[in-house]
Amino acid sequence: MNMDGIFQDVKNSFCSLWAFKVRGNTLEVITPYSTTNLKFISVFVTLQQGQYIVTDGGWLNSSEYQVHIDYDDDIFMRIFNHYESTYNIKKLEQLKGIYYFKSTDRADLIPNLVYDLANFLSSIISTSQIQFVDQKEKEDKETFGKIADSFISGIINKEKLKFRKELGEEYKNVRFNAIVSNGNRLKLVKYITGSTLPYFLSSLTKATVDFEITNNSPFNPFIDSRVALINDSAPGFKSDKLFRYIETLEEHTKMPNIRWSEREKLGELL
Amino acid sequence: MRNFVNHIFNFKNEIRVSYVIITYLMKNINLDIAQNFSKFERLLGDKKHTTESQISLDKTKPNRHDINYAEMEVEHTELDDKITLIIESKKNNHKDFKFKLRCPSLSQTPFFRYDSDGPTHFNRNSDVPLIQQMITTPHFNSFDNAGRNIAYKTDKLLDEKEAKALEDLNFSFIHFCFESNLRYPLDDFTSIKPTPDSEFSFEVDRKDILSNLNFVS
Repeated sequence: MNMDGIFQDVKNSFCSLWAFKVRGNTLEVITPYSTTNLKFISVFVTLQQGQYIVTDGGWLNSSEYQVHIDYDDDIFMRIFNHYESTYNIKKLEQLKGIYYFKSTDRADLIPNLVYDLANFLSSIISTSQIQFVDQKEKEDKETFGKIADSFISGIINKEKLKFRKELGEEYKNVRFNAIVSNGNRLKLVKYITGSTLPYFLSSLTKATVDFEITNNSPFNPFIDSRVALINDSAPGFKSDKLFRYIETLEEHTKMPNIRWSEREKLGELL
Repeated sequence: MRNFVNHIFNFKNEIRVSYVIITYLMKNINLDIAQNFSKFERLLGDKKHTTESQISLDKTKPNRHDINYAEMEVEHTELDDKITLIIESKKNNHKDFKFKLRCPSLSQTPFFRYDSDGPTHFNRNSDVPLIQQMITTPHFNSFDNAGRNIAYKTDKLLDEKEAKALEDLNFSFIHFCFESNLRYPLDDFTSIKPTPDSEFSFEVDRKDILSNLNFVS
């Protein structure tokens, strides 16, 4: 067996998977790191104020890899947070995009950053392909999310509106479907839905806990309203069985919930 | 007892069917196209025509504020299935666009697509050398008879000079029409009006997707 020849062939084949595109002042590096939905990972390198930046270019969050990052899925988010902290990935939210990045002032360390970013993206994108909840629940939740986003977009000035955002850096797991900010005043919206009663209950109790956390957070004095938008057209919505849970929810939102069938009320509240 | 046996049989069957579906999903197989491949071939290969001479990219894609979007009905010369042409273009990068053909009675996923920009596709196949499995953009996306998503580059896309010319939205669209046998009304092509006039005033080459961002605070 030609050991050296085999090794050289493996190495050359792997190395041939690197490619690049020049995009003005940014270099797109196409890496051999791939995903289970058959994409090769690209990272983008640029220089800003003496700092080399290596980033995903906003592609993870903008569906370029044809994946939906479900920030509401607890199991997925545990995995996401694991990779994010292991590779020490930073996040920039600008121009209505989310950019994951790392930076260095040493050109010789750029490969390290490419290695970390590519590993992070490959792991996260492939993990997002795994079905942690059943398909119908996932699809119903996504559909309601899109319809509700679209409705809220129609009544709120886009400059003040952010979707699927966490409460703050120290509260990464406390996310809201929509946050309306006016100066330093905040209005939080959480969608509650479920294709079956247990899924609905799970969504409801998660919302209750998240709203409860906001009450005890430093953000509390800045929050004007906490809106629980309940999808009363969902198959899992059984008002007689949810009564006590909704009562508890409203103890933390300090206001009546809004049913999807009466969504026009959102116009006054937000 | 018989009911119980039937119940167990059905239960096992359900598990088997679910397993097959999950296996296909995990392997990125489009089962609808795999099972109706002759129809897919007809939808893609047979002559079709668009229904208007011009299409304007003046709408914003629902839930995607950064993408201009347009749709048009496509008629197949023999099949009655509803076919839709979808065109998408990034508002801040006019060289990043997609053309799609979708036929919901075949599959919810578009059966043919062109990506001018975006991620590199991995045509994973254990019988083909690694380097041949990497297909950078621009590329076309189609399916093979097993329902696998296959990306490919035409000779024009492989030619550096021609690929440069194909960065233009309308040139690219004509190339897409040749690949998918799409015409208007018979031998010409629908033209695309790129973006609302108001957006032309600051048109620049924004292929640099990191311009206007500040990572160093």
